[in-house]
Amino acid sequence: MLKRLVTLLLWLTALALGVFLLQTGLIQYQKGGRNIIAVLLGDTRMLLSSKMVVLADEYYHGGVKHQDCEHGLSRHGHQKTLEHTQDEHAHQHTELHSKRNNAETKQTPEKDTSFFIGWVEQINKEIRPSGHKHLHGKRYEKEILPWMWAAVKASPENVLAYQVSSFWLADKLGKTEQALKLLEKGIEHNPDSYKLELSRAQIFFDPLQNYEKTLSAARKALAKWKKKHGGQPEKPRSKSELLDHQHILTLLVESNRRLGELQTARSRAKQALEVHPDNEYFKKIFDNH
Amino acid sequence: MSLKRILAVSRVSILELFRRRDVYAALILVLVLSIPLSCINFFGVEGIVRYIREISLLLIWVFSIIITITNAARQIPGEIQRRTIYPLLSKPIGRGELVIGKFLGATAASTGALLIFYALFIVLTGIKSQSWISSALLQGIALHVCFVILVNAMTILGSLLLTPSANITCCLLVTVGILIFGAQLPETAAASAAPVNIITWVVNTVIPHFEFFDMRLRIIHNRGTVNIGVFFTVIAYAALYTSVFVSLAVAVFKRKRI
Amino acid sequence: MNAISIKNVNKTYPNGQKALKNFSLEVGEGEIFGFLGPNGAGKTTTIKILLGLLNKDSGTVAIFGKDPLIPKNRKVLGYLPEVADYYEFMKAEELLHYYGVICGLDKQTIRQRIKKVLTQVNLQGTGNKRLKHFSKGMLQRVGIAQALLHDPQVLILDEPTTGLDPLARLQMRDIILQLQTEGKTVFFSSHELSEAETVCDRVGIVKEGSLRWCGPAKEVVGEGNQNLERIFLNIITSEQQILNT
Repeated sequence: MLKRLVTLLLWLTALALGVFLLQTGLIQYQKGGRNIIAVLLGDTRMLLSSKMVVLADEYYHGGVKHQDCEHGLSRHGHQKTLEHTQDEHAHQHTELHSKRNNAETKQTPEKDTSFFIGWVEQINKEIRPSGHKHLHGKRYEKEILPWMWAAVKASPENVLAYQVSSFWLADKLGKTEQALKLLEKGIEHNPDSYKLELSRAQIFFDPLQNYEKTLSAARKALAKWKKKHGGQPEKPRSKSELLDHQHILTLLVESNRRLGELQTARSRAKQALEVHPDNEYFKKIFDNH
Repeated sequence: MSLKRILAVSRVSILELFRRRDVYAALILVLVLSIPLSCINFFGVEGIVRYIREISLLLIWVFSIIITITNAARQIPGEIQRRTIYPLLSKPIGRGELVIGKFLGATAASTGALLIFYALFIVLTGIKSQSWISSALLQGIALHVCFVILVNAMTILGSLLLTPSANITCCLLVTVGILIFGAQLPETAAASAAPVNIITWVVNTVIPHFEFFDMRLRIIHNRGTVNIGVFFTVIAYAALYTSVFVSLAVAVFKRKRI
Repeated sequence: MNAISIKNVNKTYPNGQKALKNFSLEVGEGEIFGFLGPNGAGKTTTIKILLGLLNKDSGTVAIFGKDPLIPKNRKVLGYLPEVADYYEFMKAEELLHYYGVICGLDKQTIRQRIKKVLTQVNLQGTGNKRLKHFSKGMLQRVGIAQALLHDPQVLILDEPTTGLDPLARLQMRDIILQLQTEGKTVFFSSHELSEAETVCDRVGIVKEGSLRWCGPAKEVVGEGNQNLERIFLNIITSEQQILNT
């Protein structure tokens, strides 16, 4: 009996030690700069990372899958416009969201489902939570972090994972330092990504209100954005990139304005209007200053 | 039918499960996987608990399915293989009593193991979240027990029709398949053309919908309890299918040549 | 009334094999009956039908005039299988207790009977040991113990001395003879012809599903100092069917 107990204890210790070592990263080894997870998983790690982001999205919606919700994190990424409002139980559909919905919704023919939707579906609807319910408040909002952490670990090339994680840390949980550290790490792995610089700029802007650092980060974001398009900002590839460009310029203009650099702000606003002629904010800055 | 004899037979099944190493191995695995996971630091933020619930409950479901099916699958075939069926049936015990006794024993053993897993789950998540037992969790446990009872009955019936390995494979595939895809059958039926839609509809009606017993999402995301009418309907559903499977098992075993 | 009565029993398996052909046999109360035959003769089929484990196609089987297919009529039966790997996770006493409950004995009786049968089979002091630590001979003795536990009137022993060392075989023989003095009926099948010769009152020899010879063991030996083995071989290989009851 004692012998068995000792053997069992030894096995448990070995297992626990193995898990501990994995967790602290002591047995990670460098092979072409990649860690052991990257080596084992290969290209599937991006898939795994995306799956983790989707899972985080489900967590945000109280366990309900994203297809039930129009503005899930995984579909649209971090979207924080100055006009965005968010309510725990209702959804404010911005024009942008509804446009995207119309573009992306596939037309499916209506089928007569009444015969088939019977007691099975009724019971399943009751057993599984239906109707999403956003996480609200620091106590609950942190619940998505494990999956975002896993997404980042699984694939350091997943820019969206860094974006969402940093937004969550900075905006929802007030952990700006951790958010910035994470973004720095993300930039290390993705040096050409303007989105991560943009996220940094956003954090410096709000909540940190450090406008000098906002300017620095936003300039970097702009440079990387231009580099991506071969120096031709007037020909963006997608609507999303156009929005991002607008966002970068907004941060630059507003930072200049808040620092008292009104002329610089106006000049920037004028340049921005050349690319985004319908933007009301740039018009307001240009007209008023 | 004598309750004493049935309980005597069931006691042997319970003894067998807890004196073999399987349950303890599963228990240790759950602990070894869950405890370190609960200690991971996510961006320096403390008090995160839902992911532990998710992973622990997933492990509990996986191991409960494995333990239930492998244990039930060897009840009667084990007796036949060991040839202990002969001295047993030579005594004043009916075949029906034996089947019911084996079913009850396998169920009690699997349920006991399941409750131990849940006790660990409550302790682990309670320490992390300072919230111990919710009414959703109690409902979830009750439905999970019903699931175990139903799977036991199905597996014992299978053990009388198939070889042990074929039975385990089929039961695992059926159980996991229904858990994952069962909820989508009505939609699939609706979206298909004849005769696929009819076949799917028949399958949807006939199969035991194991996904009814899976309340993990509600427990993980604090979505509250299931409507009490639906709760008891699902229990009655489990009872109906269980009685059908056990009755069929008794009928098959009475005719089986051993 | 005969302890065992088998009349005109036929049994054909689904694959077409005729296991028993118009088989008839009677064993009186208090008799030790040796049931002999080559492999595949129908011995196991006969025993299974006697125990109610197998249904016959036609004919009648009775244990003290009652149908053994009905569970409660099997209370008077004790059975030792040829081979059985008893539950290795159980202790000897637990196993016997289990069988005692199945036989409908109350707790006190079970306790008393366990003590008695363990002593009878020379396993006293091993009740708390797990069966997985038992040798083959010890397991065989546990088998006898479970067969005797509920004090049955009829004992059916299938190859009781298989795998036993000479001393254990001697002990087994003594147990069988002891049972006879207690008025039990013992029906055992065996390949050990010398033992059948020594212990049995009557012997039946079966071949290809029918009883070829049945009579007192001493009668088989007869004149010329022939032993049972020689007689057995002659009967088995003989073309003519001699039936003497």
